[in-house]
Amino acid sequence: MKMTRSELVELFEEFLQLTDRQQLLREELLQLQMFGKRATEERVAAQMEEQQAKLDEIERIRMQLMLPILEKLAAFIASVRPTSAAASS
Amino acid sequence: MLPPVPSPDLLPAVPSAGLSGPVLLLFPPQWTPQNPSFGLTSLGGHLRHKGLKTHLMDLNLRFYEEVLAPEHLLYCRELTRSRAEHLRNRCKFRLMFSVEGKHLERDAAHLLRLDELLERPEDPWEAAARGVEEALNCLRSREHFYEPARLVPSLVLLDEALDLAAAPYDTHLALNDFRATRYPLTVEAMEAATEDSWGNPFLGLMKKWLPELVACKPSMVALSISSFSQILAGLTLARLVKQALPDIHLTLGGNFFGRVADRLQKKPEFFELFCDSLVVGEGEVAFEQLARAVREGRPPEQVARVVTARGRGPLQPDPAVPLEELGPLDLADLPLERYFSPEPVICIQASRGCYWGLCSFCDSYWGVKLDKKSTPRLVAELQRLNELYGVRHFEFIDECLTPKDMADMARAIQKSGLAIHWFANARTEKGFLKVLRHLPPAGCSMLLWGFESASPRILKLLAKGVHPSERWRVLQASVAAGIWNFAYVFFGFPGETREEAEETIQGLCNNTDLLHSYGRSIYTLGRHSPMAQNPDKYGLSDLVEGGTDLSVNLTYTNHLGPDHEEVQQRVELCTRHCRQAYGDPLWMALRNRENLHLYLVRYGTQQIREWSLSPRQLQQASFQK
Repeated sequence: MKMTRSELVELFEEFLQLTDRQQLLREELLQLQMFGKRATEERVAAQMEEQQAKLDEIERIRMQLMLPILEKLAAFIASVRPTSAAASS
Repeated sequence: MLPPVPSPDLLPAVPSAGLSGPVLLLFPPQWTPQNPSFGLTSLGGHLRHKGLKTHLMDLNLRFYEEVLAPEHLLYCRELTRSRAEHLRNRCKFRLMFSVEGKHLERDAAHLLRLDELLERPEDPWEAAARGVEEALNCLRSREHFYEPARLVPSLVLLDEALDLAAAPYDTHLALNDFRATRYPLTVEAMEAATEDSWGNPFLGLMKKWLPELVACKPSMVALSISSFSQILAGLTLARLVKQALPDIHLTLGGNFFGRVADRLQKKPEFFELFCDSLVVGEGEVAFEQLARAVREGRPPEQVARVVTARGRGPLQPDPAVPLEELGPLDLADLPLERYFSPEPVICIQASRGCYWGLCSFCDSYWGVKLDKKSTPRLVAELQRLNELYGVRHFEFIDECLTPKDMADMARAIQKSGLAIHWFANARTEKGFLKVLRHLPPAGCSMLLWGFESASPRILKLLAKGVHPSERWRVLQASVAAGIWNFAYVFFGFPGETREEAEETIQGLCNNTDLLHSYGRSIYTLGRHSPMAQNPDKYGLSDLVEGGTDLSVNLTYTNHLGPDHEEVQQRVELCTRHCRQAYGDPLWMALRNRENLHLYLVRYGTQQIREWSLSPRQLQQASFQK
């Protein structure tokens, strides 16, 4: 698999942005966990739904967006490894 | 016994007409939470006085209270842990694949700061959460506030707690300060910053407050923004309110935006994102007329001092409204008992503008028409605040009062029997020689003198209009009268030599009996100062509007020196020498002038002068750096 340096960097940046998105969702979850205690009974169900939606979104980002990038990176690394090994031997 | 209520005819008449739907007047963070802001009480007072239903909300105080709540501090600990982990992964990833990018350095610095907190042997969040309630009680207690052994550690603890709350956002927060260095002061950067939950510590709380603001059903929303430290929070709030109430006119006023309104007018995106209009300069009458124009469906840009993306009104209302006719300060709606002070110290204004108005470095009087209240009107206002809200302490925020006006005011206060205490700015001019002894009997605790520099050459360039040796006589007379002398000094005036800076430092150190305390700053070139109009004369060139839309100062090339590093060295030298000369004084740890004023009233000038910090307090107290 061939990739130019700039394509590689672009892929890294995309991956980092996805980790940032996950982090924001984790922080929103943390907020719900820390400040949700004061919620009234009727709000609890809504909060649980909200919490689940965020967990689902974190998982979706991981499965649908991050894993494909990691697969691309893995394929790239695998394709350049023999050359590196040959160079070092 | 309290003095009689002033005759109502000394205050301007209240018109009977009223408008429905309140004007919602908001004061965003960050400002000191120790006292209500002048902008809020002055604007609110005038609008109400003119029959406009007005609701005041000090969101700065609310911000401090919520940030310092123990559960919020513990949330910040979890946030810090989570962010440190995220930053660590981000840094590792960048280093591993050599994709360093522009953010690596900033991320690494942020991570180091968070790790330093997380690796402390005692959990600092837990310690802060345990201590904040007692510290706040101390600041609010009429007993414990006056015990330095309690007050100094309380101030230190609160500042530490605030820094812990600010750390995950890579910002700095204290009782008297907020800094977010990651955002340049441009409209573009503010567009990103106001929705950046990573670096904006206000966003989450403000989203939480929004339903309450919307529920007020305002006819107009006005934000008072007077300082740099309020920009991020103020614009965040403005943007959220504008999104939530798109049909309600939102205006920004205060000392800050007036200075950059001409630049912002060329940026329609600023108005699309943050506000419908800006109020420039003296706001009271403009806000009132704007509120009426909005209600009546007239174009806001026809109102004097109002700027919109479509145009701007005249510079002055026609006819001009004198200061005398403005409504009195109004503290209703404000929870006075919740400010971080045992008693409120209320900012009040006897005059506008600067009667001298020639200092080369200064533009604080820019756009302000010289005007003053009559002495009976002023005293009636003091009396009203005393009667209605029990206010006993005042800070005159006038640029400077003339010796005659100050004498008249002191005489009238004494005659009224009003038991109040106050402090004010003044110029070291000989007119004060005969006045000073009459001030303490009328409640004057302290005068804040624009000393600036001890170098006669610099003083001449500053065009302060005071004689280098004569001013020492004024300071002596002030001491003889029992007044605390506070000196403003600054370093880094273009062409200031090291010797001249040392002259200023020696001026302080050798005269601790005349200059009881000082506040020092660094020279900046104000856009509207005389120096900016005539830069060649001062060795300045390449004046640039900062390259940032929201900067009120200019950047420049200083051909005469000193450079930034030299200025910093002078500032540090000043602190080092003065700490020694003043003997590690208590006043340095009291943090602000309002606290010092309260201590002066309680203990007197002499006792405060002699009061040094104990070795334990010295360890705890953070001094000016």
